[in-house]
Amino acid sequence: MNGPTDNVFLPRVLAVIARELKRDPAGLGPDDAPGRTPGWDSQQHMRIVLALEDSFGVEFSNEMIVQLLSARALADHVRELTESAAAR
Amino acid sequence: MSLRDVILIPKEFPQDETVRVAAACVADGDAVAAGQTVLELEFSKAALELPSPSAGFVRLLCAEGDDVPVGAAAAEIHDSRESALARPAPAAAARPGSGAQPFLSAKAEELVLRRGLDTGPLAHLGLVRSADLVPAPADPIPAAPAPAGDGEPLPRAKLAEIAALAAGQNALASGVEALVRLPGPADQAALGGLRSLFTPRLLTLLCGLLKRFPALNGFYADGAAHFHPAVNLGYALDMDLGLRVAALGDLDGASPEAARDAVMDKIRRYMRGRLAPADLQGVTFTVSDLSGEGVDSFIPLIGADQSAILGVCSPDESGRARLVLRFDHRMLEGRAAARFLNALKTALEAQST
Repeated sequence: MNGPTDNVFLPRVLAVIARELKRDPAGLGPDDAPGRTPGWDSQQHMRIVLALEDSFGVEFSNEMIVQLLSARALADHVRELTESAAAR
Repeated sequence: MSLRDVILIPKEFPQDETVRVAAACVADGDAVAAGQTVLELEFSKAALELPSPSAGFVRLLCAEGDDVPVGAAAAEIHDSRESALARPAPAAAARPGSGAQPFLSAKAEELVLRRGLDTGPLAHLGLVRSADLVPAPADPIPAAPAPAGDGEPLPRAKLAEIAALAAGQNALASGVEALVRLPGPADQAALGGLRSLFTPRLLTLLCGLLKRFPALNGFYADGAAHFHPAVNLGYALDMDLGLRVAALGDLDGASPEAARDAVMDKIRRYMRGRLAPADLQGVTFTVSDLSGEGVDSFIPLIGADQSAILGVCSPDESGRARLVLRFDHRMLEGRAAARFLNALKTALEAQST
């Protein structure tokens, strides 16, 4: 769990995002974001967050759901939540 | 060996006259425990499980996919498997209440009481619905030529949505609009205004204002104005899972963060299919927020037992968004509606500066 977010979590988070947006993961990157990436609107953002919760076994707070508005930000937060859970 | 209990379709939502049987969880003759789910029902606003009131052996009176009237018997609980599986005599096959007086649906009962009707001649129906009490027109309007084919069946969620919307469409609707300045130029529409807390602020201010404008927190019926004793703000959710209006309660005095959390919790439950009837009941005024959808204006539909709805549109390039207040003109006139909307606009802009 000590690897950089970009190497460990980002590809998995991008895979979840791609599945929800019905896109090729290879076409997505860390800067993809709601309002900027086609199909990633507020509704899809909620779907993506819920899918990430299911995939990683974590739970986002309401505040973080509305603040984390890029693939990289989501991946960083998933890493934090996962590491925090592992440390307990 | 005899009948122990009859399980009736409950009346969960006022607009539902029938309920779709989504699944039968048991088969005829199965032993069931008290509290065990017998049927899964799909109401207009939520799916519910119908439990057995007692232990025994079940006989189903409906099947998966059936549309069953509210108040109708859905299943019987017998004290033996033989009794449950025995073919009922014709008279016994009728629904409970099918003696001299038929069983009435909730709407039919209301009509009978209001009009003093005699239901005796309809006893053969077993269950009398409101449509049975309305005489056929003497000179019916000719039907339009039928289109070719049977048409494309709508999904259940859409049919439930149509039923819920139709229940509210008795208003003499009028509307007023105002442009409101948003707190900042950047991404105010992100996540339906939840990120900037614009929408939560709007919701809390609305709850306070509705107490000053009770005509907007009521409804018109039978020649009278009715006023809800409390505010129960509704927030429309429509994310490809069918339209639902989540009841947020009275957010007057709540912090914007608390209001945001109330909305987010409902969205989360909606998207996970876990909205319960209590999450949807008793809404007195609805907000339909399309600010994240890039629309300059739209016409929201007033809900059942409500006199108004507020639509929130997308911000324009100058950072202003249109608020659309649609209201029942029988409850208040345009001037009062305009005052309400301007009071909301003024309060919102005061909080934004």
